[in-house]
Amino acid sequence: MGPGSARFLLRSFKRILAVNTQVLEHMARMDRVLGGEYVFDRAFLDSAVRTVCGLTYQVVYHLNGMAGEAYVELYDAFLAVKDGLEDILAGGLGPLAKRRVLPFSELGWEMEPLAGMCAVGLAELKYRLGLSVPDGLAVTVTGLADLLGQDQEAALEEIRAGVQSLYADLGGPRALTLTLTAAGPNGQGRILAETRVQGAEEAAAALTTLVQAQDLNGPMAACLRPEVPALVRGTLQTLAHDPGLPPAMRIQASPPADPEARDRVWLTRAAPHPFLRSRIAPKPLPESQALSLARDGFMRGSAWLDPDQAAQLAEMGLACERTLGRPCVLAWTLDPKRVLWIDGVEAVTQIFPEQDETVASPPDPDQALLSGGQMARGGVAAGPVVQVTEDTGPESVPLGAIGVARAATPGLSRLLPRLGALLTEVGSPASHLATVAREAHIPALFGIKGAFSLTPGSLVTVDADQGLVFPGAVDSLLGQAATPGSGVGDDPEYLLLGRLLRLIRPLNLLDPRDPDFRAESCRTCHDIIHFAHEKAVELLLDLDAGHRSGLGAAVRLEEDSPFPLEVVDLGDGLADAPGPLTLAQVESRPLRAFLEGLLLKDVRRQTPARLSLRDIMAGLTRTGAALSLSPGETGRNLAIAARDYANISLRLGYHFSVVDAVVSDRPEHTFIYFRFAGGFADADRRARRAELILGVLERLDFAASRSGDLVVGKRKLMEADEALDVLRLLGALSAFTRQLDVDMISEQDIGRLIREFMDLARPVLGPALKSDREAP
Amino acid sequence: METRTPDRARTSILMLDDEPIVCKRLRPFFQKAGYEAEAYSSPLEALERVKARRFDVVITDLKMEGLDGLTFLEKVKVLHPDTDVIVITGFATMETARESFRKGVFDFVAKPFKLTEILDVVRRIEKERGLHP
Repeated sequence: MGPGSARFLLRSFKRILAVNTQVLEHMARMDRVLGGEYVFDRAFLDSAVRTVCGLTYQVVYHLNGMAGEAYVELYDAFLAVKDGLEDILAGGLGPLAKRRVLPFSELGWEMEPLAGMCAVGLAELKYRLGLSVPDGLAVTVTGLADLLGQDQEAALEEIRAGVQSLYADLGGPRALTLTLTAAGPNGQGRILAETRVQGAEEAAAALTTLVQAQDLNGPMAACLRPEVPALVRGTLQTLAHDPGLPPAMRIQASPPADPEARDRVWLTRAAPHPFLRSRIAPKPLPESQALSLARDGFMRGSAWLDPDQAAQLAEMGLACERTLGRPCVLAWTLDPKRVLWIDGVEAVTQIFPEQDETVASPPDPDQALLSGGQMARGGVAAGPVVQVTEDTGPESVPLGAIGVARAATPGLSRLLPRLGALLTEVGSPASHLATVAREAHIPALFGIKGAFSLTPGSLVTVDADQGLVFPGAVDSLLGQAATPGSGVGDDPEYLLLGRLLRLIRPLNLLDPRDPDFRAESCRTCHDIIHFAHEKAVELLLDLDAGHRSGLGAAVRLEEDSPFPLEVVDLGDGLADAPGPLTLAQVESRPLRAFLEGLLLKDVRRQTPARLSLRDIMAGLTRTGAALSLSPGETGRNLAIAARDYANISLRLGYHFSVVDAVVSDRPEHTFIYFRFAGGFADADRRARRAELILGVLERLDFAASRSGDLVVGKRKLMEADEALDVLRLLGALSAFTRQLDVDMISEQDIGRLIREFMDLARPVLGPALKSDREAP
Repeated sequence: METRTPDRARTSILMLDDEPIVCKRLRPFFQKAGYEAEAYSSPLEALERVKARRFDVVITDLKMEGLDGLTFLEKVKVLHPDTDVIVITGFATMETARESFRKGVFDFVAKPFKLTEILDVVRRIEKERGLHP
């Protein structure tokens, strides 16, 4: 059995599959550790990186073995990722460490050591939470170090170019606020200097002056963003310990023209954030603004901010605190249209008192409204209950609310950054949504019964660490959670793990048809193993039938299938019986389950497709070669099957779908990968069918995404029976959606046909279709 | 919301790990679960504390600067034979596990571990000893 022989290719392919699964398991474990469910130490990080790198290298090696070293560039991509990981472990600044200037759109919380707390905090609030925050850029630790070194001219040029690019996005030059902060792994986000600049040239010059004037013996970063016109300006400190008060939030407010006329207000950290204390500065008021005594005893109308604005600010502050993992000070501006903007973020420099353990006595678990569930991400949060579904718009979710849902479906991920915590009745900490909760630092409990029955609008406190939900705001829990250092995510190890995962977990290469789907484009371990998997499948499918030495020939399935299908047995996939191949002879568990769904006549649509001339013309422009990976296989449907594995490629001339599945008795080895692309109808209708498929996949807990008519979905870590149910459903879906694109005339057809499919499939595939996953 | 008022002595736990992140995760977790919990990153400080008072449960790392976990375990057992010791380590081998059990360890938990895993071990101790959190 030499390189290039069918058996060698098969053996290498199986190794790639096995090692890919191991990498995915390790990635999932690292991801779950990030959620606070596990206790770990530095040695775990070193060992996890070493293991993932070792396994990823094996994948690269086996692919090159299969392909006759045709993907040597994948070794280079692997080395770049490995070097990046080792650099981070050694205290380096990560994959973007060489960048001198980074726009907010490229920043994430784990880049704080490189870009500084101010820029990273504003970027997160703007791009992840969608709050009113001016766009801007960071001059990185590298950029400022170069300003003081031999590369000063190059650094200045990049800063000027960055500002010009920002102006282009803003629609013209504006006055900018320039903030210099302490950065690096131990920078803590302290503001060193702040000034106002006008134009790219002045920004670069002012930055040089400020940096040269600092005697800080450590890394610095800068943040540049446009100045917001102000009626009132101020700060919000998300955690303030003041005598006589519980841990609170503190707001200061004054008009730009009169900084001495400063109001100070202390609010509770739990919604709806009533005032605990206020010190309102005396100020002249317009005659029309009469004072009145409110029910709470405060004089209404004299403060610069009203209670609703203060509460809104408080929620913005808590959202920022969740993102950064520790208390912070936000600079805010109320503009002439009375819109609140966040335009600065700084670390809290106050010395916090030692936690008083008598205050932190825990609540009685017997008083909990709910208990149980699995921790997807630890932490404590209090807020009003809001029911969320996949159809809930982010704008309708109050910032900091406790979201309750029936199932942890991936579609909820866009709501997560706005939530204080998330509870779902069904779901797994290994799901895509759990990963997003960990990324967004949102406490989350999945599988907690009764969550969806909590009264909307009622105030509750979620303790995700203990799996408990209490009525009202539990001060002891909130006080303990507010103690710096007590939360998940504010330790250097968590920051380090988050930065490591950035080079391991994201999957950037999704579409094999994309010209950028190349070895050189792999930027993470996940990219590398996915690329290798795709290419290995291609290599197998490209095997010339005449040269399948030692492999069984492709056998045609003799059943009433919606389309012809041939099966190649990898070993133990088909029974050794004479005569035509029928479903009864399929011993491959995943293939058999898929075929059971595919062959269900009840789920097939009976009405013929309504083809228009436009469809026919559109279809003629897309040949099978353009849509499939292997022109030689166009129009041929092939399944490669072993006892626990199946790779099913359906190439129906105008659409192409792949199901790749391992069904093992060990849930951590089980995965299902589904990809669908193409169609005959025009682009809009193809996209609608893709949306339909996406909708069904998401209801089946797939981590799925759509780009045009391409849908890619993955599910991992499940019990064998559940995986087989899902595969039956995918088989039925493949039959149901055949030629369906031409019937999808309007957007309403998406929801209608999802319902139609669910209704058809439910009687025969009930177990996979839980009621909480039904179409709306 | 009422907070829990202990009507009898809570189970006391001393935690020792020279990596601060481990203590930072364990201490508030056990406190919230109703335990009396103290955490130390320095083996010598922890030893002083154990000399000063008895704990129901000691949770200790194995590999530490200054004093290794097995020696600490031995000293605890000499001072307080009825204190149950749980060893946590990122370098679990059969040899160290065997040695730990020979020295009287109650259980051995490999890092990384789930918070609920170590809570289960503590609850087993409470059950066997008739203690209450």
